[in-house]
Amino acid sequence: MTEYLFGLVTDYGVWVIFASTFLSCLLVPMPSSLMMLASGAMAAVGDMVLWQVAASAFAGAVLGDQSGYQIGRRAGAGLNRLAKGSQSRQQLLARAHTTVDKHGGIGVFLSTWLFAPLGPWVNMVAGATRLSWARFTLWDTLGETIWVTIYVGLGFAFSTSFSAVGEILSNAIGFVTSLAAAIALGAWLLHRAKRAKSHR
Amino acid sequence: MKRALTVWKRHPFLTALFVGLLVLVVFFGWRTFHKARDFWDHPVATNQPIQGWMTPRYVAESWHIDKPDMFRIMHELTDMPPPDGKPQPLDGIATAAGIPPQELIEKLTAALQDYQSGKHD
Repeated sequence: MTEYLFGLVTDYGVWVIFASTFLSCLLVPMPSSLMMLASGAMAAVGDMVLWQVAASAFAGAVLGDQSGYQIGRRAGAGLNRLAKGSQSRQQLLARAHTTVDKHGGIGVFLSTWLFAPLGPWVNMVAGATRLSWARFTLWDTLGETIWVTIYVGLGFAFSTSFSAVGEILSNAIGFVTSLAAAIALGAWLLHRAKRAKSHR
Repeated sequence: MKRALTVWKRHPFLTALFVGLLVLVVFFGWRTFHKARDFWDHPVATNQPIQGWMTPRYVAESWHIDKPDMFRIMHELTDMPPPDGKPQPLDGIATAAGIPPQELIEKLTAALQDYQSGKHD
């Protein structure tokens, strides 16, 4: 994997980095984190220029998120039409809108880097539930800055040890994401159980 | 316990998903811990076995060879001019120089070992 990625970067340069972060924001399975680490390492040894690596990763990520958001917007229009026929669907959609309006910004922010596997989904949901474009863009840009800085920065700092660092990071992200999902679902189930008890 | 059973009965699918998530938490947590400990024990990858995807600059970094010396050694082995612009992996350089990649890797490894032992004498 490492050799293949490295080969791609040496052959096609910053365009590969751009394409990988762009596509990974659109649910195409790309090892973009490892790609950023590898190119950060290449910048450290002098094979690439650091700011070009960072800029292309950042541009790909932000444009990818924007595309996901726009796709969500289109799908959201369809959802609204679908909900028109039923009151319960309308209520559900209204609740989703309220939640996103309240916590959408921070959700977008965290999903770009800390809960990265959720990123593409969050972008589409943000678009579908009409989170304002300005808020989405603000939080998204901020989050992607952190994502790119962390990965390219660590690749640069650890240079030839980048693949070991990549393995630690990808497992850590898996850990944090599954933990957050478990806590959220667990809390919800507990809440339901309590409600069921009080109804009895 | 009773409460867990009630939840399980009412939402069997979501409860199973929750258990699955807990398994993932343990799995990723365990792996993170292990990978981090391995890295802690051997933090710096020095003298990484040379492979075809590595570029001369990458090898120089891993083997602690000064870049000009690295380019000189590469030039001696391949008779190719030092790289300008686009980075090239050793595979590509070997092909361009008409040498089998494996042969270049073996020769380079030997030359770098020589260089390192010479430097420390």
